[in-house]
Amino acid sequence: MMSAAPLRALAAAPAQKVVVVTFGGGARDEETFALEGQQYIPHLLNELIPQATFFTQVVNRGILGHYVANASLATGVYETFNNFAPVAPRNPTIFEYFRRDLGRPAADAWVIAPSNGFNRIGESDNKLYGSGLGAHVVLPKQLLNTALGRSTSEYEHLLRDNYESPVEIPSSDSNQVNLHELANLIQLSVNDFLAHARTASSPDELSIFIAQQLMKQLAPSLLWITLHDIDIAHSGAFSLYTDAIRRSDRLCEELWTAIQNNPEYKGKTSMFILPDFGRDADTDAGGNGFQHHRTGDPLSRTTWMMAMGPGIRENVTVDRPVESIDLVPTVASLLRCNARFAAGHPLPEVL
Amino acid sequence: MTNMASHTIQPGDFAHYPPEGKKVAVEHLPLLRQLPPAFAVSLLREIANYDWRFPAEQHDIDMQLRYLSAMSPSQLQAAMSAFAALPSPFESGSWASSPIESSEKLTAYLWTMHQMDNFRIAAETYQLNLSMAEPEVQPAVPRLCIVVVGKDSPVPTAPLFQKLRPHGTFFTQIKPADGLNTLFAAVTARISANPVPYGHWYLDGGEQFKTSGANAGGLTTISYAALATLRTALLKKISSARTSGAVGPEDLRSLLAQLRPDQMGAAETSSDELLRHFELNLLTEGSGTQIFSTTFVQWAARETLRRARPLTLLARFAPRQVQRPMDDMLTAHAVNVQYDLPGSLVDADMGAFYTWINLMRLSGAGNSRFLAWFEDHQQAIAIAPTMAKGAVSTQPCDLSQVLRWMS
Repeated sequence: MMSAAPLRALAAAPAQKVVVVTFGGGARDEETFALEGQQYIPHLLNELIPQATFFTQVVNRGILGHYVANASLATGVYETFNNFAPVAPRNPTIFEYFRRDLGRPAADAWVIAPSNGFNRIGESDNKLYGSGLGAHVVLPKQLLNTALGRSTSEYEHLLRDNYESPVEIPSSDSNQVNLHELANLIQLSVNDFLAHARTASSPDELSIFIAQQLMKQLAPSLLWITLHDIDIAHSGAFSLYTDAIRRSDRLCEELWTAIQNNPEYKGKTSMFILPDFGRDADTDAGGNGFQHHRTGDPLSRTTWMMAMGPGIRENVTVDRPVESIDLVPTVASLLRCNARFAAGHPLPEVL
Repeated sequence: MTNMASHTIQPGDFAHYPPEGKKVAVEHLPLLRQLPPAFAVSLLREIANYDWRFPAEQHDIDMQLRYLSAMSPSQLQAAMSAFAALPSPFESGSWASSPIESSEKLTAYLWTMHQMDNFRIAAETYQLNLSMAEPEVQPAVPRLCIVVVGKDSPVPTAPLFQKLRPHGTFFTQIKPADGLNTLFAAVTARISANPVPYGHWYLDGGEQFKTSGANAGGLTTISYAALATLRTALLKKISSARTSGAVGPEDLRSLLAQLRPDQMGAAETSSDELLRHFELNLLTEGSGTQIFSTTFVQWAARETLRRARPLTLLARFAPRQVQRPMDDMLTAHAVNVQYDLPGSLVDADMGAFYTWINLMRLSGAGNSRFLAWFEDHQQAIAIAPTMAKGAVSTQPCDLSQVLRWMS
């Protein structure tokens, strides 16, 4: 699918880099930035917020399913396909705008995502973009499964899947990277990958590890990571949901630190962190509180976003409502490409 | 998109409804034919399960049909206008014959068409008008809901009942001895005073507590342990569907929603047919109830309050298994089960809060009594008209005293 040749063939990469972290299991304000939720996010609250412009009302008016919502975040258009279908977004993704407009190679745009269903998120089926212009997609759990074969006992904690989509979806053509390609690209043997996986405590930790390896070896200009541990909330266990929020909080801080410690990224990288949407309100009789995001009530549609990096004002709060589809035009503006089909609007507060 | 109007509903569409449900549907066919599909499909879903609904639910269905039947054509048109304005996925076929599948299809369609918000508004408006026209019946006596959390759990590092404390009095010096027996004695007394079918419930996340009160006649009991065979049978069906490659998550949900106790073979549990359906519903409609006992108790308490609207509910949480790969948890092998005690207490604490919220949704909420107790420990929270809100009591006392103060 791609050449392993010169890993540093990105010498002429654009100065600006962007890292996007989405929580592909929605998180509510009550368990994050509301007073009662701040106990779960000490790193976001104390270390990242002071460096960020923080949007308190990010509204998602689309379908509240994780794949379709993340695809909508990546296209800037509310996609309407079946959340559980292994299909590509209909509208061009930010990866395609970036690569086509700036003539960037495949190795300059990457997605790291949970396994189920996300294998098509890197590239749309739009005829003007699409084929060959998308991002490479890494699905860590699927890689691990492939590497392990049947001997999974040491890695059970990394093979947890989303309760809400437990059905095995057949794989299909996509930009999904296989284990040997990835190992080759990031100069990490399969054995080293497995050795590290043994020390990771969750699938999201494995995703961040791979992200850091990619940053070290390929230094892509556009990196999109979807964390998914939080979606254990669908099983109804509040303790596991809040444990996952704590983990996501820590991993975001680790990633930002890695960015600051990497000369390829330090001083030229903008990072955006946002849940794809919220979860149902405790008081909505149609739902069951934090467990799901089925009611479409205001709480399940509203979340937050933080943006940080060079030129982005620090310790600033934006209370006006914005939409989750505003992300793509904003990132496109930073990367100097044209998200011409995106329906959202660039956010002047970070440009 | 052309709507398949409800006036095409035929008596034959009800062929697979159970006897009472079929009778109700046929009797109200002229009304059903006037309703927009986006509304009718939800009502038909209730009617199709009429035979297995609790008395309170059957009363609601009857009342709703009376309410709609009494309207003039113009009143009905006005009441249904917001539903009639919604697009419909029912182009052809007898959608009324399978209302469960049809309502799943409608929901997915409304999301895709960005009409879910309009559906929500239509449903809320209708419900508000209905409740004003037909106020809910008040309970014969104030409802009492007791939640017991933390069986076998160590003392938590975080304070308990934080979300409930603003609404009642938090006790820090409860004498725990004989606590469960005390609670069951209170429940038994209420059964004797108000013997109502499905009016008094006991839910347990583990084994049923061994005491005379827990076996009292008139107490409807469900324990997670007693459902083990049913859960195993259900997990086998889920595993089989998942690995077939032919069933997506939405199809799986529909498949589970349509299961009946007689399809579960030897895994049938209660001798009460209505209760057998309810038990199966808890495991097929509640995400996570099949794998985590804490989720099961929270969901069962919610559904018991919502559907049976009991006078008395005692819900006791027990430890849940540790998190394992979903594949493992969804297969039925229960070897070397390990328990997450601290996590189970956190889950149960939140479950107690949700149970109180669900109690507050019922008629007579302002006069209801709610007690949550950390089993075998000294902490409890009591919410009742007689209890101060946001207060803390450090006075040594036992649970029987607290119950008296609440009454």
